[in-house]
Order: sequence, then structure tokens, then C-alpha cells
Amino acid sequence: MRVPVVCPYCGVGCRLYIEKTPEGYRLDYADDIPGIPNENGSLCPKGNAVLDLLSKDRLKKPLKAKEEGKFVEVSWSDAIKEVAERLREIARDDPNQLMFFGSAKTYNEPNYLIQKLARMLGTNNIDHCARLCHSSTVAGLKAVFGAGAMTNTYRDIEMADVIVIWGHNYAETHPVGFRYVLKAKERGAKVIVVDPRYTRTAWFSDMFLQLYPGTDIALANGMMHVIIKHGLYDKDFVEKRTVGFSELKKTVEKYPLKRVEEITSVPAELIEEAAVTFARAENAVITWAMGLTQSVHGYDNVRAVATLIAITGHIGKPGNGASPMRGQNNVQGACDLGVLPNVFPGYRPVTDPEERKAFEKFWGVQLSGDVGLTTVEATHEALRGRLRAYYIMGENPVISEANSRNVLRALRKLEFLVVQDIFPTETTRLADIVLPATSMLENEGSLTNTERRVQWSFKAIEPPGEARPDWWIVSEIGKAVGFTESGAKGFNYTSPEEILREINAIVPQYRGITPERLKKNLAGIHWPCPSEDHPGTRVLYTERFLTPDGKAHLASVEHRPPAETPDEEYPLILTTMRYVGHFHTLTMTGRSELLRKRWREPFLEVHPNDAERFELKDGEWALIETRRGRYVARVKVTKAVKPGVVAIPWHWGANVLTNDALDPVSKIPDTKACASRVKAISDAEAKRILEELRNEGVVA
Amino acid sequence: MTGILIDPGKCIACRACEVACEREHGRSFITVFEFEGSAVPLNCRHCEKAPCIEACPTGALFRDKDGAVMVDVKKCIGCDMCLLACPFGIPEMAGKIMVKCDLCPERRAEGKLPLCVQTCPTRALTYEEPNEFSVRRRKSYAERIALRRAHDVPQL
Amino acid sequence: MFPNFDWEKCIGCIACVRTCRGGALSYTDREGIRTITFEPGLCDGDLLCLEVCPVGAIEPSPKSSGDSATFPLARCENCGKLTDFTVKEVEWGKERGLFDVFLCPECRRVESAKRIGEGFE
Repeated sequence: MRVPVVCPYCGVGCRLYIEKTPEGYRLDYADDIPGIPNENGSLCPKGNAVLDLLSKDRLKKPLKAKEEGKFVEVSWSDAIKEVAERLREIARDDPNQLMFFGSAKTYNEPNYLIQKLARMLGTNNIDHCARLCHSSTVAGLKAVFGAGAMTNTYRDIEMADVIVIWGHNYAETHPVGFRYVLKAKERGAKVIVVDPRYTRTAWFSDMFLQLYPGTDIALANGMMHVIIKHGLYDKDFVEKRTVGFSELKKTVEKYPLKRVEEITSVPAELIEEAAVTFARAENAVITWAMGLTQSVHGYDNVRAVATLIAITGHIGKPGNGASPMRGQNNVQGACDLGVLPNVFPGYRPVTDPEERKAFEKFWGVQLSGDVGLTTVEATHEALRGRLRAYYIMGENPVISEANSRNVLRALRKLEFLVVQDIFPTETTRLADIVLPATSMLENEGSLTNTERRVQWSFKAIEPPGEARPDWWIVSEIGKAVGFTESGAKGFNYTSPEEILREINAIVPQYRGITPERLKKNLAGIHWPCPSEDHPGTRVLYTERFLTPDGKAHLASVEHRPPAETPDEEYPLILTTMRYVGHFHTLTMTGRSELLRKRWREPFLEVHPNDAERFELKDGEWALIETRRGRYVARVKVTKAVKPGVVAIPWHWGANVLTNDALDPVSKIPDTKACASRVKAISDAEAKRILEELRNEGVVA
Repeated sequence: MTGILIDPGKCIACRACEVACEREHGRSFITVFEFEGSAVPLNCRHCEKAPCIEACPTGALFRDKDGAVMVDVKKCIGCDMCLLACPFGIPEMAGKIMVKCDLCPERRAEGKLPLCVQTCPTRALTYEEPNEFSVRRRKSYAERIALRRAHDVPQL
Repeated sequence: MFPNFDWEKCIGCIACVRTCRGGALSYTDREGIRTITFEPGLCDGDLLCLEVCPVGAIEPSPKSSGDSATFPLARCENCGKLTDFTVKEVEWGKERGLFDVFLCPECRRVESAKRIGEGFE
């Protein structure tokens, strides 16, 4: 019997089948389910390798640390008892000494539960990895349009006449989703790529704008300068559906193309052509990802691009829209379900007394109205000794967070660290208690992809050892802490369906997305879905925006450089990138020989001019240093980067180098741009440094 | 005759084809070659006029009912003649016998697509009659140069 | 009947070695030279070698003696590495129109992939 599951990797949300056979498990392609994101059941290399998650070194039993990194097995009841006792004790003293991490890599149900636990204990210190990636999007789009999610669906990308791909290596990070772009191209659509690197996505571009990292606002303002000057904006739309145009006009007047060319290094004629092509298009979308969001100005970057979309009227109708591409398969769900320090489930502000009252009534306890800590802020607070315990569910911040050595030090300072995961990681190594969870293929629940599409994934594989579903673990801890009631006022759940029904009751966007409907309709339902007979909403903002006045708030933002720019000591801009065959911190893809053998190591991309200048040879080892740390990688001499810019994949631990200066609004670190220096080193020296970094526990 | 057709204009070098093929066969019989700005997945072309079949001294290389070029392992003596003959460099030796893409015969028997074609995220690989491929290309080109679309015509 | 080898005709492809069941035929590749050896004591006279020889260099003969010959191995004309094919095999391949330039299989794959990609552009 083939069980339909949703791929545990990225935000495209592909469907596949897993079948139990006498020899083990088999993967099959879902080419018989209409309407799923991956037409024909196609899968990228990671999806093809999901069965390698059944690796031998899965966490199978709860563990307790005797000393750092050395564990003994304990029973579930002992582990839960200890976790609950410590959380309760610290909460009684001051719940804001606790920090909770939800997981973009697990279902909606456990995510809803972990933020409920944090809040019922009295704190809003709950966040997750969206902080590191699309928090700029969530905040930026909320400011302009009233909500922080993709405004259309993949079909709308396919229908567009112009597709702008901004700071997003679409073909490598969302390969199956990229087919929609290629289908549009077959129809004659034009593709405009904005990226500091000539990526595999840029191979397919009709216009390639190779800007310096951190200069996106200048480019967006430059494009709007052209559009407004030539009257190419949608006058009707601007008048009826936006506010802030006159201020915007004044701001972008200060961005003539000559100035923008100087800042971005993109030739003026190209900027003009791109702007005119985008504005004149009948239907156009802009997709974006980390290149735009992971900046100390990420919030402003997103607002600038959203404003560009708004003034050209490319929103609120099919074939158009703002398409931030979420990375994880359920980061959208984690955001929707309130795993954020400033909002309750459904994006209702914790500071709003009316919203708080509604949740206090629902959950039956007093709730805090103070905005809690975000993940990187929590690292800084822990370093200052102001946090006593962390409960981390399904996240590996020792590798994923910028300036990762800080995370190592912060987690070590804690009195108590609980980590719930499927494999041992650099983060579980530091834990006091490790809780073994099932992978998403081994339990079931609902999850939400980039398109706001909620799908149900069924249990296909038996979990190893004593690993348990995340929803069960959090429920047991919730009960042990003292919240023993059934229903919304406690944690006495018997199934993920029960939890989803509670979500239906309290999250208006998910009201009609019941477990029954999801199990019958494998292609899922797009929120908002206000009732059980509502088909879901594909296109947002057809009549009005979700801002208080219903209009799009155009943003006038100014260009400012990244937090750290090159100087004599550190003359190169370092940016980060991904490989198609690996996912994030290698917890999952690192266990697959099929993937490892094809993507073995990170290569530092260096332009031939810089290779000559710094005496670097293709294929030989280099030492990369920033003010925060050092790292080694072999060099790949390529013209894909510009002189003055070097790029490295971060999967193996390059975040020891990156900068954790934060965007003041979204609190996202400036991951995509910092100052670095590179020099050639011998094989022996490289191996020695790598060994050192591994022993330190900061790299894979 | 049907074979796997390659559209390099769509290959994104993701290697899903390699991973799928290796997962089911133990080794991959398709390889993606990446160049600066494009990529080409390459496997046995199952040539209609196959130099390997002609070069084989024992008749181990034959064509099955779908036209795929197959190796009869009982007859193969590992003499390397097909390695010499193949202009695409496809045959590989696995111990004493030659191995290469067999166009997934079990899947074909069930009416399914070969694995690499099934999984390719961008349809850079297709399994169809060559003239089906050409017709699609022609249609796509025509669509791109069409002077008017529905939305240009107010009455529509 | 025993096989009798015309080493002038022979191109060193070792199809005969591979099909020999008794082990009478053997070969070694060392330092760029292939040596093919026939040991009549191990021959069981099935003449399969005669059947598979692509150039007809083997004829039946009522008696036979131990025999051996050497063949230099060819280098890939692109990467320069030694291949598993002899110079005579490559000449034979060129005469039959299999290729104009002799490339090792790896270079052939890369070249044909490149041609497919360029042809598309």
C-alpha cells in the first residue's frame, strides 16, 4: 500500500508515495494526484533520497548528559519528568528566563503546542528559524500589504509575462518549483534575475542584474525612479488602492540611474530595461528569498520590492503577485501558528489587549502582553546570563545561526538545555536532555507550503527505537508541567487531528481546513479558508489589502550599506549560498551517500582577478577569515562572482564567519554580506584547522 | 522508436536523475555534465543504428521490443569492443560484463516512464517519439513569436 | 584442434582471452604494454576464441606451441592518459570509421555532452 506523504525538505511541498515492501521501504512518484505542487510527481535529488533518513544513527532513546557530549539512556517518563520540573521551577521564578524554539521541520500541530506551552507558562519567548530567513518578509509584507505571506500561487508564476527573481537561486533551492518559471518562458515570458552571483537560475535569465550584496534598495528605488519618471506606474491602482505615493516619488527622485549604477554596479541601461519591462508587463510576479531578506536592512528591502509591485499594480489578480519562497517545508505553518514572539496564532499581536483576552479565555490562563525574544536576541541574552533554559525542537542553531560561535557559547552558559531532534547534531551535543523525535515520514499531521497551501502527510514508516512524534512529546511535557485538562485548556491530546481541530477553532485563516477535508483532498487547501465549505483562497488582495485602511502602504526607504563593508584589513565581501543537493545544516542530507558523493564539500567561489591578486589556485585550500572567525575551503575560480565578492555554501559550518548584526525590525542577521580576507594555505594546515573547528563543535 | 530525449535548455543540473537511477540500480547510468552556463544529462542514446551492436562479437547486445539497446549478461564476454565503438563513451565495465542504461524495462512493462524521466523536475528529459518532441518545440516557438494574444484583443 | 595466432592481424583486443574457459589465453597490461600469452597445455580445443575474434586472426591448426605477443597501449588524444585499448585497436577503429579522433570514454562523454548543449544553443 502506497502512503502519500509530503516531502520533508523544502517549501515547495512536493507529494510522493512511500511503500512498505518485504525488503524495507520504496519510494514512488505521485503522478496520479491532480493539483499537487510537483506536477507529474517529479522530485529533486533530495526528495529522491528521503529514504536515507532511515539511517542507523537516528536518535532512538531519550538521553541525559553526564557531562557535555556524554550521554546515558533514560526512560521517557524520567526525561519528561525532569524537563517539566525544570521548566516549571524556572517559570515560577520568572518565565522570561525561558526560551522556546519551534521547528519549521515539523507539523503544524506540535508547533501550535510548543507556542501554547511557552505562553501558558507565562512567556512570549518563542521563535523559530524563520527569524534567520524570512522574518524580513513576514514583517515587511505585513507593513505594506497587511499580511506576511505569498500573495498568489505557483500557477500564477506560470501565467506571468515577466518574472523577476530577486536574491533567489530558484533553480537550486526550489528546483521542482522552477518548472513553473520554465513553463512561463516557453510561452514567451521574460525572466529577470537579480543576484550577485551568476547562479543556475541566471542561466535562464533574459536580463541579469549582477548587483553587489546589500544594494537591493538602491536598485528597487532606481527602478521605481524610471517607472515613475516615465509614467509607467498603474495610476488607477496607485490612486485607488495605495497610500504614500507622493512621499515615495520624492524619495526615488534621489535615485537617478547614474547613482544607482555607482552603488550597485549594475549598468544604467540594464536597470532601465528591467524597470520598463517589468512595469509594462500585463502580468508580472517578483519572487525572492535570502538575497533580499538576510540583511541588516531586510525589512526595508522587502518593503521596497513590495512597493515596486504595488505601484505597477502587479498584485491582487491571477498571474501576478509577491512570491517570497519559503525554505523549509513547514516554516509557513510555524509562522501561521504563532511560533513567533510578537504574535499569537493567526498573526494577532500579543500587545493587543483584545486579542490577548480572546486567547486567555480560550486557553484559560493569564498571558503576557510583552513581546518576547527572537532567536538571535536570545543568544545575546543567554550570553549575558539572563536566560536559564532553552527548549529547542527540531533546529540546529550551532550551524544555522550567523556568528555561530556565539550560539555555542550561549548554549553552554545555560543551566538547562533540552533538544528534541531526529539525529544527533552539533546542538544536541550540548544538551542536558535529548528527546528522540520521529521524522515527518514516521508520523502524521498538517503542514503549510509557501503558497499557503495546507496539506496532510500520512504516516508511512515505523519510527526507530523509542522515537515519538513531536506532538506527543510536547503534550506529555505540557501535562507533566501541570496543564492536564482536555481540550483547549490543557495538553491532554490523543491525536494530531484533535490538535488541528483546536487550531480550526482559534485561527480564522485555518477555520475551514479540517483534518477530514485535508485527508480527502491531497492537493490541500490554501488559507484563508473561513469555513468548511470554502474552497480556500489562491489569490490575496483582490478587493482590499489587510492593512487597517485596506490600502497598500508604499514604503519610502533609503539605501544604506551592510553593517560591515570591506576595508584594508578585510578587503572582500563574503556572501553565502546553497547547493541543490544539500539541505541546510546537513542533519538530513548529510546521512545520504547518494547526495554526499555528489556534493562533497564547500567550494569558495573566487573571481579570477581576485585569485590572482591573493595568489589562490583552483582546487587548492584557502583560509577565510572575518572578524568573527576562520574557516577553510577549497577554491573554485569562476566568473560567476564579481571581483571583490567571494561566495561559500554554508551547509558545513561557514556561519562561523557571518555577521549577527540585526535588522532593527525583523531581527534577522546580516548573513549575506560581511567583510573577509582570503589567503592560500597548505593541505596540512587546512586539515589542522578543520580538525580544530570540528573539535570546537562549530562545523560539520 | 522511443528513446529518452534531452532538452538541455531545461536542465538545471540538479542531478535528481542520477540520484533516482542510482537508488534503484546501485549505480547511476545517467550523468549530468555541467558547463559554465548550461548542463546536459547524458545516458545511452539507444541509437537506431547502434555502433555497439555492430561491434559486439557475441551478439550480447540486442534490441528489445521497444527498441532499447540491451545487454544479455550471459553472452557478454567483456571484450571492450562496444567501449571502443560508442561515440558517446557510454558503456562501462562492471567486473566482467558491460553495464549501461537499460531504459528501466520493468517500469516500461508496467507502462511507466523510465526513472530519470519520471523524476526530472523541469522535463529536461522526456520519453516520447522524436516527432512529439519536435511538435512541442515548434508549438512553443510559435507561441513565443505570436503577434497577438487574447489579452491584446479587447473583444475577446 | 588448437588455435593458431596471426599476430600481425591481431589488434590486441583480448576478446579471445575473455572467452577462453580453460585459461589457456591470458594477458597483462604493464607500463603501457599489453602482453597476450597462449599456454597450449591449458587449451581444451573448443575454438571459441576463433569465433569471437573480430579480425579473423585465429585459424584452426592440428598442433600448437606456446606463443605470446606485445601491443603498445594507446593514449587518449585529448587528456593524454593511457587507455585500455591498444594502438592497433585504435587504428582498426579509425579504419572502420568508428571515430576520427580517439578519445577515452570519459572524454567522449564530456565532448558529446558539450556538443549536445552547443547544438541546442
